[in-house]
Amino acid sequence: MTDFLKIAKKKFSSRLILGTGKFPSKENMEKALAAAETEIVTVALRRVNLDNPSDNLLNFIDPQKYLILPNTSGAKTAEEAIRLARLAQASGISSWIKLEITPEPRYLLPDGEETLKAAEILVKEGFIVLPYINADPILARKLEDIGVATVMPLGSPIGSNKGFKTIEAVNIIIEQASVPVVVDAGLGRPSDAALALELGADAVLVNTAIATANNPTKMAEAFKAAVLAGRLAFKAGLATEKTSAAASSPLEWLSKIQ
Amino acid sequence: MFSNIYSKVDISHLEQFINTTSHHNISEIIKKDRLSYLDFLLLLSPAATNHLEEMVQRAQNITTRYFGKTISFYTPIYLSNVCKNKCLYCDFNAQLNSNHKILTKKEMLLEFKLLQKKGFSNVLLLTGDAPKQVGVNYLLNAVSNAKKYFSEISLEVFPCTVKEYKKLAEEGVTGLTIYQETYDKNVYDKVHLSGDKKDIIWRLNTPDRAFIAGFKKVGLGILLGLSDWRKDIALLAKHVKYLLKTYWKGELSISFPRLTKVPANFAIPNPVSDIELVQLITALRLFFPEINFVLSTRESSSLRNHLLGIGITTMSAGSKTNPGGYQNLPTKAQFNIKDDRSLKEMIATVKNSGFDPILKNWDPVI
Repeated sequence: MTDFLKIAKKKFSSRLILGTGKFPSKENMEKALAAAETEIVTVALRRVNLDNPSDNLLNFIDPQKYLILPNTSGAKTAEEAIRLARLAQASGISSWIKLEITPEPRYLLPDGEETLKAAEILVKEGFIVLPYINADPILARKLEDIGVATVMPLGSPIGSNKGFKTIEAVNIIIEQASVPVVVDAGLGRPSDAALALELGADAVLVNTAIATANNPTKMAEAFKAAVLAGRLAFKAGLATEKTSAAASSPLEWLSKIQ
Repeated sequence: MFSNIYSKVDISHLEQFINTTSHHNISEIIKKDRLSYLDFLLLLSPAATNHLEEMVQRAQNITTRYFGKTISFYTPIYLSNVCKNKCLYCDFNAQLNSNHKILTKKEMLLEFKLLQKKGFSNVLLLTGDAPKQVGVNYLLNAVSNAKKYFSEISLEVFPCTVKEYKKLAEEGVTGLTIYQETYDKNVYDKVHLSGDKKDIIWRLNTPDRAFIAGFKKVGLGILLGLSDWRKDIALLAKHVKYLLKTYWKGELSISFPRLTKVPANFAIPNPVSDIELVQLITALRLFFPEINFVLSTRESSSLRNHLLGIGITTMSAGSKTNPGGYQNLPTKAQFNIKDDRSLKEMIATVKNSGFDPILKNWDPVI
């Protein structure tokens, strides 16, 4: 039985997407990617240095093994994000784009209005668009109407490791979405990732929690296991919580009625 | 404008509070997620010196969480050493420096080529304060050339008007570095004898003008050693807080230039020790978890090695502080550098310490 994650007609066995920032070395990052058995790796275009091979992140990510998903980190407006996306396409990196538009540099929260604007233009230009958004179910639906490939609501602010704090709103997004829902940002522990998958999120994106762990490789492995466990639990159908003890056959009394 | 806030601060009260407080809950403050301004002042106080180890540990954790184990590199490029100001602590001082040099276009391009070859992608263009000789048009020309070699260009030049900054931002400048030197008006008046820099208010409002004009990043700093550092850093933090609130899209950074060697006839009024430097950097890191902290080659290699990761996120390397320095032109430098390791050597050091060196962190299309 195969349980694929499908994004824009592409099939993936792994439901763990990794970011490439904040690692203590490129070699360390390579090992973590391998240990996570991820298939999608996101890269900040502003960090891509085509002029200097030793500083070029892309030289450390094997495109045969991973789908490279460029992101527009650093963009503060739709216009800037669009320019970055076009640059990624023109330099042959990809026509998939993770749309990140964060006008405020402290919490890096996504600007829904600008994201919607940029997504509309990029989808029309033929890009596969994966937008990073606040956990806003209406925005998620609007983006879906436009034709984005996934929606990526945040669990908590990027890099905060605060965990899955937007759970109620993400539940609504999951219930309503017909594109994959990827919980992105803020997942600090493997258990946060497991929880997201248990609830029916299609995938998670993790970066800081792995890159800044004492042992990124081991942490990548832990996230891999958590994502598998969460997905398995979702497929198995979680038993509902009970507030009091109940007989195993709640209708037993029926047979006792003469 | 920040001068409105500045004029309302009771600076002597602030100074007295920081230097005399004896708060017993410093350890609790260090553990907090977000610090209030009052918390921050307590971390600057002499009372907090007993908690320096906890502060360093916390600063390390915070820096790693927000920046990962990474160090970004930039290089300064001095375009001119002509300066009309008379600042007692500076080797470009109009009275002391008769060896004037303004780079020609050819010399400028050679500097750019040499630095690009070394691997730099982020550069800071500097001049003295002489807008009649080295004005906005000269800078526009320099930026338009530098764009062909580097992905990120910032300026550290004489304070400009909003209109001038707009032109520079449109030409492709991302950031501005402007040090207030000191927020202590008495000291400011004493060490700046003459020149445009004499006007403290014009300088105080420079970051406002840069953000209004569309600069994306502004770097602040005080010249450590001029006045009481506790008071100066408290006011610097107030300035940063004000800018963060007013220009919410703006990115800020803080640098830590420290006076160590000065012209012969000037004594450093309030020298800052290594341990005090550590206290102020870590206190600022706890107060501002997400902003870049910059350390230049003014500091020694051993100190720079130790400050890696306890708050510092950006460093220069292999710097020359004289115009044409990278092509060995015999010109007057602004100050002597203490850490003369090349970028290549710095990259090796940073890697050995478990950090990832970052050369490009910006793209001109943004």
